[in-house]
Amino acid sequence: MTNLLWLLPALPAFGFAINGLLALAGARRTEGPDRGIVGFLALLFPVLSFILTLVLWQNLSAATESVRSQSELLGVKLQAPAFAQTMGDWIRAGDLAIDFGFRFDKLTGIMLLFVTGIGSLIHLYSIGYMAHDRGFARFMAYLNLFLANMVVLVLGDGPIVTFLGWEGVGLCSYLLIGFWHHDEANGSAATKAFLVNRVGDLGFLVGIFLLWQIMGPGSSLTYEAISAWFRDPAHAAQLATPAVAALLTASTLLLFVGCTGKSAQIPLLTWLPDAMAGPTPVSALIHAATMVTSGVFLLARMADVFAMATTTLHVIAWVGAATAVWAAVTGLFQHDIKKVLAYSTVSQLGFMFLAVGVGAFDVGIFHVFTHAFFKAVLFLGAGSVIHALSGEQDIRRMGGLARKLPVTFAAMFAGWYAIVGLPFGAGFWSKDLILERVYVHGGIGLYSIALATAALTALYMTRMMILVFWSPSRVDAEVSHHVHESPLSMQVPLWILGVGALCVGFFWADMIHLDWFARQLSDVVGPAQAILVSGHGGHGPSPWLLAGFGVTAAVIGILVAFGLFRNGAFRENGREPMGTASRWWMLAFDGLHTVVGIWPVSVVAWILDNWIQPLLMGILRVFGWLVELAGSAIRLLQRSRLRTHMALSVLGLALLLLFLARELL
Amino acid sequence: MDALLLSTVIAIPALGALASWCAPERSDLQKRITIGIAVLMLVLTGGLFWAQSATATTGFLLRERIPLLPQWGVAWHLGMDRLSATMIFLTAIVQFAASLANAPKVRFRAYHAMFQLLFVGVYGSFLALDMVFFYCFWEIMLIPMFFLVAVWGGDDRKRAAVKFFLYTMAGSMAMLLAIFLLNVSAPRESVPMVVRAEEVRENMTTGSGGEAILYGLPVMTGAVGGQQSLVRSADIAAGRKLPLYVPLSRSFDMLHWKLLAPWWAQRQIFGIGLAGLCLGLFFVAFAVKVPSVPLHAWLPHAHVQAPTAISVVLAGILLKLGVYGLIRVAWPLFPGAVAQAAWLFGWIGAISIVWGGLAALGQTDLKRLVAYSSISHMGFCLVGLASGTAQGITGAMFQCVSHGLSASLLFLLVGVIYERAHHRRVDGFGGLAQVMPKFSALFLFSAMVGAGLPGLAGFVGELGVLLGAWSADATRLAGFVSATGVILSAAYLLWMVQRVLYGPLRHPEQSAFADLSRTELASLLPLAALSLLLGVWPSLLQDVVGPASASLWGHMAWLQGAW
Repeated sequence: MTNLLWLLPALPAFGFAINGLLALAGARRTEGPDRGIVGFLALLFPVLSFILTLVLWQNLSAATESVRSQSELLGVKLQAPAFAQTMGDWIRAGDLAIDFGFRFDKLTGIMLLFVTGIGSLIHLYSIGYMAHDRGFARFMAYLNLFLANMVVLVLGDGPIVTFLGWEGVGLCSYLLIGFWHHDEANGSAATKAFLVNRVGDLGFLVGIFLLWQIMGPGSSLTYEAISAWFRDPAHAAQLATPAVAALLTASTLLLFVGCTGKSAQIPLLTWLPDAMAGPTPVSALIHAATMVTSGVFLLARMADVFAMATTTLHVIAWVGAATAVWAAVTGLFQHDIKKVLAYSTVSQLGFMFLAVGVGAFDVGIFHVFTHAFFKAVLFLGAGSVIHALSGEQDIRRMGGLARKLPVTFAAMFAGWYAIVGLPFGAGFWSKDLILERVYVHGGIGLYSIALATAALTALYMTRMMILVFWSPSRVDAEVSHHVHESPLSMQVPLWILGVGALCVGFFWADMIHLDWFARQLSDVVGPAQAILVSGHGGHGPSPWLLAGFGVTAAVIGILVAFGLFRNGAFRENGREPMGTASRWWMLAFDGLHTVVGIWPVSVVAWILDNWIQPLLMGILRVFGWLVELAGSAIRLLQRSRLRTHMALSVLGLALLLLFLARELL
Repeated sequence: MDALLLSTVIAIPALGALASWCAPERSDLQKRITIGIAVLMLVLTGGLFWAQSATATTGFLLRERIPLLPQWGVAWHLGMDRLSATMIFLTAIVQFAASLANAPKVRFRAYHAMFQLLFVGVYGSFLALDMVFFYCFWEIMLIPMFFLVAVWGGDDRKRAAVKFFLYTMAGSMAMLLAIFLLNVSAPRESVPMVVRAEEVRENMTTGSGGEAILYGLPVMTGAVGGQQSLVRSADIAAGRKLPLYVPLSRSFDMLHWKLLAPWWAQRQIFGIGLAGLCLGLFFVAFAVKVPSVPLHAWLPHAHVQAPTAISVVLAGILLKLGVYGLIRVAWPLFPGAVAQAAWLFGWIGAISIVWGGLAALGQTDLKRLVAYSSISHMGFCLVGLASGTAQGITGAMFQCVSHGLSASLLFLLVGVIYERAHHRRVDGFGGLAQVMPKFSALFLFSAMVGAGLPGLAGFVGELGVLLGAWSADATRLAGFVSATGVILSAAYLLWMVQRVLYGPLRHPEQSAFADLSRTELASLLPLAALSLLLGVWPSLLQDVVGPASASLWGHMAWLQGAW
């Protein structure tokens, strides 16, 4: 079983290769390669990958069970099993040796299950959504390539292999944001996404390097080795020394910078809203369900390291909370349905980081899991709405679509129900777990921010639902003739994900003692969490009471939204009292990037161009003058007679010889 | 039989040049000769590379030494170790790609002859172990290059050629002076030198009586001036008889000069340290070629004016000679001085990276842009070498190869659209992705190789360099500054991709552009395939250059420990 791991990324990569070649071969024909074949192949390989994941998961669960029963029998704690496969050595430089290896444990398994599962559904959806696009084959090829890279990201057995997938998904994100490249703005958005991510990726690399320095050069850079090193009590004293502790804080903070890039957190979050330039299935798959959650995954993967860096965890918690509330407020001002969802994603990611920051790695991953379902269905629903309205994305020109698009509405209602956290939806369970952990381990400050954000979430999401589905129709007459429900290939994913958005929360319904999800992760993040929790201790009030607070916040948000936007009556096209302020608020971080990133580069470039370059040229010119001067002097000499020449030459030679003889002998 | 194999490597392009010159002036014939020679070289150097990588030895697999002027110590001395094998194979790959690129239509007999002659210099420089011949081959490159730019270049070709000539000539003069200084300060008679046991073991040959010979000199044992006896090679193989001495006599031999490293370190000339002075001179000579800021100004100009194939050779190979010279000559001869000046070299590399990157951001000519990106990328080699760590040196060697591939790709691709549009202005293109899908795919791919995307060749070298630089105290800060090059390279390359490929088709007449032809694909695809192969399977190259860098690192570390 173990030696099949390579197939997980290889299958979609193979799909990419075939579809990429088909796309290139048929690119100049208007109709492109046969859509049936391309669509079939593009869907086939992700589905195979998903099936393989299921089989591996089954085997791993069986193995885990047998190990568990053995350890109970023997009374000793045995290592939790994981499948590993090393493909060969990859990077060798001095005492650095990185193998190209994969590792399939429970955390990877959970990520892979929804990455390939939801990934397959979105591939299916794309076949319908992109059916009329000229670049259909190219699009499907990119999606397959993305999936392959995402699998490498979560399956890598060490941070450098993860980094391969990490930059690979960044490339695919770039390609897909700029998919409709004939529009200049899309290309700019794509470039921005790549560059902002590059900044984060540099942090990632330096962070890994510092980690490697802490562990001592020559040590192996695999997650297994890293975890073992940090779990080893023998290293506790070394970690406690101020120098190493500072190095660890720096290392973990830099790794977190990498996460803020990929997962769109403060301060590297500006690219995600712009990334909505890509086709909607891309937004659903890459910019909501999978890629942007890699940061949370990475933190959970390296939980043992972060557990030792409490300062960093505090920073993560506060950055997460700040991002959550900032993005939720921003989401209130958006007119573009995809932008609303984009800011909502940023905000939800903030929640996940908040959870991780208070030491609840498993809860963070659980929110990643539930969020993948409800945000994917919201995006796919939005895509369905856009599709139905012939490309309209502005919620000011929507309304009254609940009757016209019943399937889409039902799916999006499920997504909405989950995200606002009404009882027993997926978001209810995961968000209330976060709120509970934040209350217990994070303090009242973080808790109140989180609770306020929960209310804001309900407010902006309900606003969106009202403006799209419930308010009187503001759709252009021309467009409203063509409003139609989407084809079956788009509806099936909506149904499945809609049901998922309502139900997947029961995998970890803490209050009714369903904790399947937590048990899966306990081997991976358990030890790290045990360290963090033991420091705090204590238990909060009853979970039911906290859940009550959470639901109350959601209900308040919903009621306020209905109060404000009941009729879809708002003067959006006129002057907005909040217009300027909201723009400032929204563009705050773009401004920060300009000041911190672009201005210094411009200044340095200006100085090089206007001062240093002329200086260098000046020096060269002086050199030239000197040569010219020497030339004229020699010319003067050359006017004289041959005898003088001879004499001078002999004199020069004699002097040179004398000089050298004195120096060297 | 294989005694003159290396001389053959140099002789083939020389014969090719002769053949091109003598053959009747028919374009297809000259072109066929050029391509035929390139294929021959590809097979030959590929075989040599394979043979070298298949052996366990880190020393010279092949060496040929024919004393020419024994009284002056000049010898025809060629050798191929792991580094040379890699570089000549890379040369053949780039030569093949460049010979498929479009050649000028005028005076092409001379053009092809010059093109071949250029490679005589390149192969010779990569193989020569005698400083006199190294210098000669170095100069041989200069002349055809000058004419290739000055005769077949763009509108401003004369100025560009003169600029190129002046800069490189200044560098050559510095090298000549250094060679002269070293030769006159070398010991006058045989002096015994203590050598590293690994050095002997890796490069030992066996004499007629079974005695160990190192670089043509007998290895001895015993104390200086005391009892000495010849060491038998079987003893060394068994790891006995240490410490070892090699009696040296006056020569121009690089390898003898390498054994003299401790001697150079102690000598003074004109009141200053000989090692420092000569290191400075060699550094100037090689830094012009790399090129490092502030000696870089000739490169963008030469690139813009040179024909496509020559740009490819220039970026793909000639720049690597600078790095090769540093690794082959400057670093082994003066390890102590290198360690002292490591911070300076690190900063020069870092400044080249940032300067080249920023300048590339501001270019409006595609070739200038790629030229500045070359300056930036080659800066990584210098930073890696300056770090003096095994990671850094391996990374620098790897970076040489990966940049050879990515820069060749980019210059070839720029040549492709120049062929069609007859200009290279960035703003003169736009939306080509709609017209030329194959070109666009390869253009983006090459940009990603240049931007160091993991899984492609560019990443491995940069990672090694950065890890090495961060590990060494002297280059740590410079290493962090260098790391911004990773962001800058993504910025200017993606900016270029966006202007050229994306957006609406700004110039409607470009909708008639043909996509890549078969010949163009034949020159591009091997380079692209290698970039991918070395990214996913870098051991192919790392296993070859790794021991070479470990050997250099061992030599330097040993000397610093010993002296």
